Amino acid sequence: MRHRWFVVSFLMSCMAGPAAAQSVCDVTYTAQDGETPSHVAQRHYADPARWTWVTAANPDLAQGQAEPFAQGDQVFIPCMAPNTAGPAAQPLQDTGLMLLAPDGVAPLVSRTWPAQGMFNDLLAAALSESVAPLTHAIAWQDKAYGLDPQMLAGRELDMAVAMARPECSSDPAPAICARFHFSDPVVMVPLLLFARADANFSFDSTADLAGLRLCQPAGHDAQDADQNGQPWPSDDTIELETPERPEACFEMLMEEQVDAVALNALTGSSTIAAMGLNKQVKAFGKPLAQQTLQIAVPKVHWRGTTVIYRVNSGLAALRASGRYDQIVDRHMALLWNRLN
Amino acid sequence: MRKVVFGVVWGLVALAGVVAQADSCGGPYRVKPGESLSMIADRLYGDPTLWERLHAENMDVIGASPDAMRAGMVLTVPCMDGRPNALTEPKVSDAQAAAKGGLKVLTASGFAPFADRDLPDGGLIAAVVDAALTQAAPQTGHTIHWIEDREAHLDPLLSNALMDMGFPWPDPPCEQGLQRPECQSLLYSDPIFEMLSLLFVAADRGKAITSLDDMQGKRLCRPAGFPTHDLDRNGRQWVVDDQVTLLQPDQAADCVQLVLDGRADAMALDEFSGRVALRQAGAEGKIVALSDMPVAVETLHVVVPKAHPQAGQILDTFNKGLLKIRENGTFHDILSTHLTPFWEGS
Repeated sequence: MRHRWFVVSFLMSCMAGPAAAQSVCDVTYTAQDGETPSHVAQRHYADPARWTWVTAANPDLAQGQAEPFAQGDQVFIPCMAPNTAGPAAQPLQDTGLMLLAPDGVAPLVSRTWPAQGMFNDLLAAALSESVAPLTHAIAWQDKAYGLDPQMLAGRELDMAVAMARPECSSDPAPAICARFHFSDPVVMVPLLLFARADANFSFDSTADLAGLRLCQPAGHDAQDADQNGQPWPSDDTIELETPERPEACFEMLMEEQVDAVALNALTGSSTIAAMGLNKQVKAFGKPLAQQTLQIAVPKVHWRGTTVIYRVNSGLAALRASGRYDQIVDRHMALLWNRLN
Repeated sequence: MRKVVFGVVWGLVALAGVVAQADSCGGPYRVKPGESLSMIADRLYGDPTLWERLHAENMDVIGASPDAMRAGMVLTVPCMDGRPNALTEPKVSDAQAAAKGGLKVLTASGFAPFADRDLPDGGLIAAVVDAALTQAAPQTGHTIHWIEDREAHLDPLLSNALMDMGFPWPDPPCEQGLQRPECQSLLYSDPIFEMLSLLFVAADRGKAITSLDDMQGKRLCRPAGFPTHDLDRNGRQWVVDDQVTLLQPDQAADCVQLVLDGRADAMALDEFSGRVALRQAGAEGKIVALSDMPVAVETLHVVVPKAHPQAGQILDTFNKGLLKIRENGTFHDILSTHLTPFWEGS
């Protein structure tokens, strides 16, 4: 897999100046004279081809791809594609998959990020590339969660975002492997350590963590409940706080209740920007680990193996065609805009 | 309501007190293609549970296993309650037939974990069909007939509407306009299950196969009675264009043996049936599945004969029952019950 995370370190090093902390989508944008739906889509989605999202959400304004808005037009910028599907009175085989997803892991999985996050954008593209294409819709969970075999037992949900991939080939395999199929990683992001800019400790190996108070949002380590998912050794001297949302970790960091925050590079930088903490927080360059986000499907699901096959074969096709990198680049560009 | 025809001991109780009556009652009966003892009992006596009596009377012809009965065998049919007389085709209206045994549902063993008489509830799909029909048409009732001659299922049993429904049937590519008998004779329900159709090859050859195109000209084994249309999908025409040599022994276990012996290059089977066959033969590790290159994504369905006068109504009843058990959680419970042991064994 090609990594483009050098971009991330570049982003981190450039996190200077006051951040533009406004939302990226689900906002109203004041059009400038001569701007077309394509221009607006480029600005807000880093993708001019998504001009149809703009026109569908603003039926009274410009409707053509190149038709200009009037100066001062209030253009609503939706976070997701307009719903073109009809009502639910369709035969079962035509309905898509329902994904349980944690909110607040921007820019990867978030209902307030274009296309509902990079992860969902990649997943939708992968499912559409596969031999028997499917669509997916999202059931949002207010916060990140640990993967629980019971949570997909209901009839509506088909799969869940898993924020860690257990080593199912190890012996003995973790208990969660008996209950779920896991797809290949949809995204892989370095897990970084964030500290106050004036922190007087360095981080070169996990041994440096001894005696520190760490914060990691609950669910972001999401191994199964009986497995230690943290990428640091079990150490009595490490104190760990696990609030529900990333913002809470950074609040604790600024109030000196913790010494460092462990969070994936993208969610970390996006949260810092949204909170306007660019100058007060730094990230250590050495990753704690590589965090992967993937799909989990219950093994007792009626189409469990074919869902996993669709995701994996779709991802492989996206990588082969270069579309995978295009989608990642688009979201990185949006994140870049947000940081500056 | 559900009756499992084979293995019902109390069928014998119903025979108590039966005495021979007129001379014209009973006599020789020639078995027709695809008939089972329970079907004959149903046809002649209006009661499929009398099959054990028929078997007992004809042990010398059929042998100890009821499955060994074949078309053309001549049975001696006893007279019970004055039936059957004159051994001609009884003219029973559909309404009467439905009133007697309910819907006649056709399946066969050898589709583990989906349908097999030795599995709890007869397997996953048998349990789903039973629950869906019980949900949607409790008054009508239904009887599951296990007829092991799978090649007789499509023709004549279903194509002539001798049965009301059949399962489990993978969906053929009818939308491609292929003149397949599975498309011409059958209507398909909403999907019950979805799975991958895979190739299983000797472990030492698995790595050498990098594309399904490598299988052109090779010997593929697919048990008799399993449809082969999945091999003609996704741009491939292996069977219709004779691009592979198809071996079709009776059982999946035979395919496993042929691959082990090097007499077949691959067993082509859905991932679940294939893994069950490997497990039962102790061939796990010696034969591997090419999981990364499935031949097709297949769904399993209930089928209803197009020739059936109430085909649309029966299909509608089943689909409604299936939707209902998906909504009320029964479907999920059945999947958990049947798939948990499957994955635990892997």
